[in-house]
Amino acid sequence: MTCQDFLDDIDLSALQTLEEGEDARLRAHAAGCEDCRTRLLASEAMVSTLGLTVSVARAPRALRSAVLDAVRAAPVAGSAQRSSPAPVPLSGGRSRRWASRYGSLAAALLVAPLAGSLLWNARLQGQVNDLKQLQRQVTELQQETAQIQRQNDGLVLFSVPSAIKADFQPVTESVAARGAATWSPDRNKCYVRFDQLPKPSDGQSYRLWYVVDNNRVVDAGVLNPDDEGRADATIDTSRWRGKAYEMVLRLEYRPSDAEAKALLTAILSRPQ
Amino acid sequence: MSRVERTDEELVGLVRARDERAFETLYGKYSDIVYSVSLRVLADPTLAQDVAQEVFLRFWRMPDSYDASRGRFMNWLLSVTRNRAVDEVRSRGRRRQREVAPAVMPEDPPDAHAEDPLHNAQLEAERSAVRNALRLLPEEQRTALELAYFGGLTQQEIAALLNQPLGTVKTRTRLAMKKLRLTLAGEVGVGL
Repeated sequence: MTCQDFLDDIDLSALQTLEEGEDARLRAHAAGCEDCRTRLLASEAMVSTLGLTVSVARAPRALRSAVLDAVRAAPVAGSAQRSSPAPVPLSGGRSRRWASRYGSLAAALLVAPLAGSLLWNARLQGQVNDLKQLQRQVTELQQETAQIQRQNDGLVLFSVPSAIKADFQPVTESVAARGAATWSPDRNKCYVRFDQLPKPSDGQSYRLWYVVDNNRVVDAGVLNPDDEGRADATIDTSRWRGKAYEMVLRLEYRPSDAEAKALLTAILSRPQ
Repeated sequence: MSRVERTDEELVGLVRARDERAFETLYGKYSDIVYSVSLRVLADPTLAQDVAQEVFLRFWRMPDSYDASRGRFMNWLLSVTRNRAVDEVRSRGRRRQREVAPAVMPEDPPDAHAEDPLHNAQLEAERSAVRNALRLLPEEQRTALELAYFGGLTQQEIAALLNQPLGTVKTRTRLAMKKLRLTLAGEVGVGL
């Protein structure tokens, strides 16, 4: 293999997207060629930056605990001494010990129920808080998973050769928002995504509608853009039998609001 | 100098000396992005957590596996994470080639929970640069690149998935990388 052959496929090797045999030949060349090895390292560094494009999700707290607890669990010199309880010193004569013993017993009898109750309450409260925290994390994870699933749907549809695609067009020039729709009649799904949607005012929401070819208007649901103005949705199209569908994104105070503004429209048409 | 102001390479040096706080600082800086890359490839929060845990613990046990002369710590960490996640996809036969996320590149704010605002700002600037560069690619090139990177697919698998000749897919991927390299030259901390 020449250096030029290597350079042709260097990025594919850095992406680890070549078949094993092809990659092994390239790596063997790099092992014996310092220049190519250096270039491969640079390409791998370049490839690694693609990881920065992911939507960042908060790492779960459980991960932090698992990792840091495992790190701390490594044996540390002197830790056994720290964990040993300190001996309790004995002092005074027998009567003082009696008095002390009964006094302590009486105090314990009085205080124990109260302390027990407080401890129990505190423990219960702690468990409730932990449960709430877990519930929040579960909700976050469910939302992230749903979003990833929607995005996956989008790419799947985009990859289907027979998919019908259309860009949303702004109704007026002042609308900066953009959008695209990909409909796969074979898979009975339509994926829509929007960018640069302005934050709706209080009480307003974005709602997507589609108009079937007999002019029947169907509500496809509300879209909640994130802080960056992005929103997406997957629509079940199993009942779409028509030839063409017009999709309209409107900003409205309530469904079918007569005053609502149509912002973007797209027309999905089956091929003739 | 406080611990959060140390460079990654200095922190790695402390980790080599078994400094747990240095490790915790690096964890705080990169746990979100490591978990997120893993989640994107695997599309499974539990598996993503397992992979992220493995990546960090492996680094703690074998900090010498990072060689500063080969590039930045963050690049190495992202690379290790992505490769480990792709290995998981391939070994489990979880063929996600039909389920890879599309070219939607949200721009999240810097992680408010991380410890170092300067680090956050630098990271966000890099993320923004890479995302913008990716946006400039024609859709078919971006798709090929994302299927390779996040889907862990070989060029042959991508060609089969997209129903395109292998040569076309390779050309798209090569062109995508070439354009990224040109766009990002000098913008992100990689040797281009």
